[in-house]
Amino acid sequence: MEPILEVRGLRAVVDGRTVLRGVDLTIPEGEVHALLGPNASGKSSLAQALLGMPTFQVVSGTIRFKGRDITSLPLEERVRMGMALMFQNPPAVRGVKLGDILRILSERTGSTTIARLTSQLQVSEELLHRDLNYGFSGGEKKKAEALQVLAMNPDLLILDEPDSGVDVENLELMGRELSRFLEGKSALVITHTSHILKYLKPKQAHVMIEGRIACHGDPEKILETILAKGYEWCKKCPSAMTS
Amino acid sequence: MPVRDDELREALRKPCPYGPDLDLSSYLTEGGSPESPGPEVSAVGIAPGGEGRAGSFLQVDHSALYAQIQKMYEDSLEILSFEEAVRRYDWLEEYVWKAVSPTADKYTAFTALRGKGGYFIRVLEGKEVVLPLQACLYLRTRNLLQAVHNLILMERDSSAQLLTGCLTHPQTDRGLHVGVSEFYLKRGSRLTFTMVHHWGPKVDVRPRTGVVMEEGSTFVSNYVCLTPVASLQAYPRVWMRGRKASAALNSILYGRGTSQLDLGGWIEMEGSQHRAEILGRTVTADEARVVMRARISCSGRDHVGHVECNGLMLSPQSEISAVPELVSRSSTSNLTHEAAVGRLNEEQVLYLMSRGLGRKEAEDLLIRGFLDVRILKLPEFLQQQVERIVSLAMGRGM
Repeated sequence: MEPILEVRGLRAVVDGRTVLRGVDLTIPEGEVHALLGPNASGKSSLAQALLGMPTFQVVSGTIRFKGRDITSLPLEERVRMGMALMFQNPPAVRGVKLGDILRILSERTGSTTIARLTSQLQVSEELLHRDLNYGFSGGEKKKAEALQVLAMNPDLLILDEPDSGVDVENLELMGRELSRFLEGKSALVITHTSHILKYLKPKQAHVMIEGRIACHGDPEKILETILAKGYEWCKKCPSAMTS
Repeated sequence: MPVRDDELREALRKPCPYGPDLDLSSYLTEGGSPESPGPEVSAVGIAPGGEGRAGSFLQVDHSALYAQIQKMYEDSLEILSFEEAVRRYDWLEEYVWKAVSPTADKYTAFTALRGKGGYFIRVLEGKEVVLPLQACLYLRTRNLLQAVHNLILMERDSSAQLLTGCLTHPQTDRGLHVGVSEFYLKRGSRLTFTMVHHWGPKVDVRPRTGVVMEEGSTFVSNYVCLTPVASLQAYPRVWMRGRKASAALNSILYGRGTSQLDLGGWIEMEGSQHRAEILGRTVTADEARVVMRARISCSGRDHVGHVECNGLMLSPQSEISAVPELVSRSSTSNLTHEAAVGRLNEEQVLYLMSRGLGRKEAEDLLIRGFLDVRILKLPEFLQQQVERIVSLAMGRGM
């Protein structure tokens, strides 16, 4: 079966600064993959470049999504094709309520699951009436992000640090709901701390070091190694040298 | 002491320091039509048959067509044409031209000398008028100068919401509307005054407003103008007396085409423990020019005042000036202001696009969010009305 996402030799710059240095990554349809890596290794840059955020300028390489070369496609086309990103640091949007966005998504997708998702993620009525991400706590931001991307019902979900800034109770809540959604779905889960992986059970993990995928393999083994030896070790790892 | 005619005639030559100066002789001052307006009045929130309103006033050109009150409110309020009220009540002398000077500029002077119509609304002591009142001032005849005088008297401990919709006939492409409005809020009274304007791109507008507030009264003024106008200049003044009164002047403006808007407000707090707020949200497109003036001054003790002017520019050919001004003669009071003028935030646009919105949809949503009528803190009913007006205006113009 054709992979849902296939990235080859992707190099990208932001404001003239190279942030991706030849990324190769393949996610087969229906699989959840984890992307690990130290701070500033390029994980979020990859997520945003995959979605087509115009600040990330692709200088070489290709991105194929559902068998189609989308390297030059604008953001809105990629979203329309079924890609969604849960942002690590979503911007505050004054005057636009979380409920406004959900209503638009509901009208657009005909989704009847929003009320259920709102309840299961324990998003309060009060939060729905507040300006999007404005004054939200870390946990509220993550819940609002999860609620929106799940309501979009994407074919490929990119989760950028869904576990950062979330307390234990909310992590469990989000982990459970994301896990339920991802059954049989494709996803790339970016995590620095790896807490969320306890719930999402990725099939494969990739480690990103300095703008490249340094190695990939069994998530448990990779995590075990990282926890024992740290990301510094990854930089010296022989497989990293050959990737 | 009454102002003499020669002083008024002298003032006819006095331009306003703000906004473009207009030649009053270029407009028709007589004639006009008494023909009723059509359903277009709903664009400014007016219910044509007065349904759901405690009372209604309608003036077309120079003619007051009706002033009516729902039966259940007959013992709560009065609505008359201004001339009728002056004829009926000698005591109105105490109020007429006391909150606005007739010699302030050529527009007030013209209204004092040759103004026709306007409304008188009085809410009686202790009466709470729950349903909104509405007043519609309609300019039908091309090139007419409509100069009206309104007087609103809120007696002690009364409360009401007044929606005033001003507009032109869709084919009336030139004209001048001058509206002198004097508000008196007696002790403990509360008034939410919402004015929605919908003029033509060659119509000039000069509202002149004065508000006198007594102890414990509350005045909320909301001004909404989202459609093109040749020029609009207004600088309402509010005097807060006694103690513990609360005043808010809010405006939501959308400057388009070659519109020139110069809108502001001056709240002056005397006595003690008043609260004052001036909030302005302005969007400019095309070649529109907007000045947002906001001044809060205070003397006495323990007042709180805040000014907020925010502008969003959609076109590099447009211009916004924000002029917040705080003047304090009270060391125990606290006055603050914030002002910001900028363009749409690209990060926010892209974020909304990542949720599946097209660029234009995302931008429209952000503009609507910027013009969020919830800042007006309207009663639920009026909020729905004003939201509908914003939706209509946005749908037409964007």
